[in-house]
This record gives sequence, C-alpha cells and structure tokens, in this order.
Amino acid sequence: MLDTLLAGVCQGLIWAVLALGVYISFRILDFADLTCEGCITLGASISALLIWKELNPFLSVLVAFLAGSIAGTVTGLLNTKLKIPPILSGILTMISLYSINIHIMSLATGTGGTANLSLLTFRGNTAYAQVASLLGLGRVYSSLIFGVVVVLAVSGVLYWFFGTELGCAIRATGANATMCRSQGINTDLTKLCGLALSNGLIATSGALLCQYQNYADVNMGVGSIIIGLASIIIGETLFMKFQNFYMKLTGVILGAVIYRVVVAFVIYSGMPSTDLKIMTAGIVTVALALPTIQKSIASSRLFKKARRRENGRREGGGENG
Amino acid sequence: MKPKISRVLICILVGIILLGLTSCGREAGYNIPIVCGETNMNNACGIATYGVNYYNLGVKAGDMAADILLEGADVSKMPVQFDPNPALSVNTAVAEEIGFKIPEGVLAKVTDDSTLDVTRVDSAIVSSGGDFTVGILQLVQHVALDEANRGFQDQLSVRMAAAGKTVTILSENAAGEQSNNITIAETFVGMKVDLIYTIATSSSQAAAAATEEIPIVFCAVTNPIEAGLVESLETPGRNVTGVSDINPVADQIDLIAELLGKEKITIGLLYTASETNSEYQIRLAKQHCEAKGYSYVVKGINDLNDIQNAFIALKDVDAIYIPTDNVLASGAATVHSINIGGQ
Repeated sequence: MLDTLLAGVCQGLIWAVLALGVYISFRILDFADLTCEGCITLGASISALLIWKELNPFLSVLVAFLAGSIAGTVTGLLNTKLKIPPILSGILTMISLYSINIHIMSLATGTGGTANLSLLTFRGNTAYAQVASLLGLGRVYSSLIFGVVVVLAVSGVLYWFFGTELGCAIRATGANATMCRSQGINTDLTKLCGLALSNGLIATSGALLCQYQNYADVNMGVGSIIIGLASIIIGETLFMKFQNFYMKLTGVILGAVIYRVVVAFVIYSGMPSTDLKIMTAGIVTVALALPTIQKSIASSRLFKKARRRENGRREGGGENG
Repeated sequence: MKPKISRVLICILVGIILLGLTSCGREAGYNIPIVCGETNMNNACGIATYGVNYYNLGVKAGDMAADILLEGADVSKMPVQFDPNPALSVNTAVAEEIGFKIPEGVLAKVTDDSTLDVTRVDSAIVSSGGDFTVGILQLVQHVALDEANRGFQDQLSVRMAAAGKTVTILSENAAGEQSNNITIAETFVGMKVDLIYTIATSSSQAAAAATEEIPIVFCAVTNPIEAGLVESLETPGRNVTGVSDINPVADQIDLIAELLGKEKITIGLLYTASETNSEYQIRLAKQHCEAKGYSYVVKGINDLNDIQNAFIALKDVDAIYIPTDNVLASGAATVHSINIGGQ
C-alpha cells in the first residue's frame, strides 16, 4: 500500500516537470502546443543516447532540456514567422520528431530504425541509480528525494524567471498580446522564449522518465499531453485558493502527483484491466466536480439553516402570541 | 559560355557506354530457393517458412512460470525459449518464379492452425488468496498479445492443478499508454507478487526496471538482448527470462533439407553483421548444420548495397536461409529482384 503510494508519488514528480512545461504554454502563454508528445520522447531518446555514449546522466538531462528548447523554438517559428496556427505548428513539430527520435536512437545502436533503446544494461549509470548509491537508500526513497529536489529546483527557477522583465513580458503576452505590442514588447520573441522553456521542461521530464523506467521508446509520448492537462486542471480545481504565482506552480505539481497516485490506486484496487482508462477518467471527473458539489452542499445547508431560522421565528412568534 | 557540341557528344557517348556496362554486369538471375525467418519477409522473397503462434508462446511462458513457482527454477539460468509448435506456410508464387517445385510432403504439412491444445483448469485460478500471486502486464489490447496472455493463463492453470496448487492472477493492461507500464510494474512490486509476466518489449523493460528480485517472465519480445532484458539467450543472468517471438532456427534449417529432398546440401546463411539478434540466430543455424552434417557458407552484409555481392558469394549454394533481420526484412523486395535477375 505504502510502496504503491510512494511509487505513484515518484512518477508524479517526474510528470510534474512536464505539467509545469505544459502549464507555461497552455496557461501562461495561452498557446495550445501539441509538441509535447514528440518532445517528451525527444528528451528520453537524447538522454538514453548520451548514457549509451557514457556521458554523465545528469548532464544528459541538461542536453535533453536544450534539445527540447530547440523543438519548442521550431514550433514557435512555424507559428510566428510562417503564420501557421498554434495547434498545427505543434502537430507538425510533433510528427517530425517521430522520425528524428528514431534517428537519434539509431545513433546509439548503429542499426537503422531503432524504435526502442534500453538502458537496462546501463542501469547503474542512470541519475536515479547514482542518487540511490550516493544516499545509500532503496530505489523508491532515493527516487522520491531526487524527484523532490528536481521539482523544487525547477519551480524555484521558474518563479524567479517569471519575475524578471522577460518573464513578465511572456506572461503579459499570454494575457493580452495586443496590449503587449502597444507597450513595445516583441510578442514573437516572447512566444519563442515561452515555447522554448515549456518544451525544454517537457524534454527534461522525458529524460528523467527514461532514466527512471530504464528505456526510451518512440511511442512513449502517447497520451502525455492528456496527463499534463489533467494534472494542471486537477491542481487548479483542488487548490482554487492558491492565487499567487508560486502557489499556482505548487498546485500544478500537486495535480501531477495526485493524477499518478490515482492511476496507481486504480491499478492497485484490482479492477478489470480493460477498465483502466474509464476508472481514471471517473476519478479525475470526481476531482473536478468536487468544488461544484461542495458549493451545492454549502448552499443547501445555508438554505436549510435559513428555513430553520424562519421556522424558529414562527414558533417563537407563536409562543409570544 | 555555350557548351561545345563535341563536349556534349562525348558526354552522351560516355553515358551510353556506362549504361551498356551496367546492363552487361547484370546477372541473368540466381534463382536460389530462400527460406526466411519470418512470414512477412517470406511473402516477398522466400518459398517457405515457419511462423510463430502467439498462443503457443504464451503456453511456453506459462510452463516457465510454473517451473519457477513450483520447482524453484533459477531464473538467471533459464534459457530464452521459442515457439514450441510453429506453423508452416509456403509461398507458391515465388517458388514458381524461380522455377522451384515444392515437394508434396512439405505441402501436405501446411496447416492453417498450429495452436497447441491446452484445456484451462478454472478451479486452479482463484480471484484472491491463491498459493501464488502472478501479475500480468500487457502493453496494449492486440490480437497477438491477447493470445499470448490467454495461452499463459491456460497453461499455468494446468500446471497448478497438476501440482494441487492455486494461483491468483492479476491481469493489467497499459492500454497502449507507456506511462502506465511503470505504474503497473511498480504496483505489482508493491503488492509483492510472486512473479510478473510481461507481454511486449517496453512492458518487460519497465518491469525489469521496477524490480531486481521478483522473477519476470516475458513474452512477445523479438530481441531480448538488444532490449537489455537478458545478457545472453542461453544464460539470462538476472531475474528476467522468457519467450522470444523470433523464429525457430533449427526447424527452418530442417525445412530447407526437406524442401531440397536430399542429405548432402550446402546452405547459404545471409544476415546483417551488425545485428546482434541475427548474429545469434546464425550461430544457432551453424550449430544445427554441423549437428546434421550440412555444409554452409556464411555471408554477413553491412547494408542493402551489399546484397548483390552476397549473391555472387552464395551463387553455388543449394538454398539460402535469412534469419529475422531488420535490414534484410526492409530490403526483401531487393533480395527477390536480385534473386530472379530483375532490376
């Protein structure tokens, strides 16, 4: 039970980095960016390739970040320079990344068309394994500590960055692009920066994921954008009171963790394997509907109270009379 | 500057000579019968092959799981297994094209269904509280993979019933989302199951990442070495072993002898040198040839451009065997056109 919970949290912390990336494009920049599904695999395959080439696993995560930023920049250029609509620019980058990822993984094995790159033979050389041997803890606890450190670092840097002039300009672009331009902000540039940062984080998450599960696969990105969006919305709904920027980032992180823990418990509960998706969807729906349910309970309670008071007054009046 | 007419003429002349040379160099065709390692490639260039049946793979995996659970077999020393009863298929179109007559004896052995007959014992599978708990992690709902799952459960129930034990089976499906692979694997580890059965490569890798103690039996993995699951097919070396869906090499070599209908034969073994998987199959093929007393010529290629040279080297063999090989599979049409002497 506890192990399942902790493993869910470990995975959630990896997906939190992705959710933060998706949060930047979808919420801050208001740009429906679908590069994500290709980008997470890009990060994973770059990281796996570099570990095959015996580079430091932590450094490989940084390189994955850079590669992701380049992918994000390409999406941005397609949108700002060629005036292709946001969703389509993202899709174009995503589908071209499919081929690129296979090429990257083929570089490691030397045979064309490698769609799956294993790190099991390099399992001692992943960031998670190195942290585990450094701390002398088991897989779950060391992954937990490493995940927390990474997420704190990423969210800290993001908080600082979105307070700088450029960061504020990016936020303003998402809020009102016309007003931004009238203030003399180059919105094309801010969009490019935002998308580069967003996809850099998504690729970072991919690199971490591949080192955690010990393989990169060309299809591993399938469904990742849904996980990212679900995490954001769960975070926003459950933590509606979180209003300032740092608390909002915290909400996104918690949303990702909650999502993965929910999936883990759906599996743990032992429901039929065909129902995994509908069960997950059901639980997420409940999470999303909670505020509405709470509100209606609160209002009905208020209504009852008012009626009771009225009844009381009438009864009181009767006594008096 | 205008090009001089003489220069243009020279260019045309050189072109014609080059064209002539290449057409002279073209062979009339080798027409060597080829047996490929897998059905798809065989449809393009081979005359006959054995194809794997995923239900049978599952049955084999169920046997291995029962050995591990009931007899305490050492996973790290259990060799990777193959389809115990592969299905024979022939390609009469290619055979006709190269002028080869497939013997009646082989044609008679072609079956539509090679599925092993296993009768599931329902009483051996309990919903909870069995003597053993087995977690099944399948990547996606898919006909072949579902068969591998069914075969495993059927055979495991038979073995459990024979030993008077019961088993609880937790069957999970990642529904095609690889993010669920590691979640399911870690949930099984958290539940301390006795064995994890994984179907498809990425699911097996996720399980192998999640635990180094719980025995893992994989299925439907074509290349367990490249996937990092086992150190070698003979001795896996870790907590992971299973059933590969690559073709049964020894059966294919015997098939060649049967097709040719004679004892003294020379077999050409054609493969891509850089592919570890092919190299292993070629090693198995050589061992089997030596055991049966067949002579063989091995030809490794680097890429598709080497096929022509490979045929020149193999022109005197009686038949060619090509294992499950990514590069050659992608160039199956090229292999065929060179073999029949087309362009």
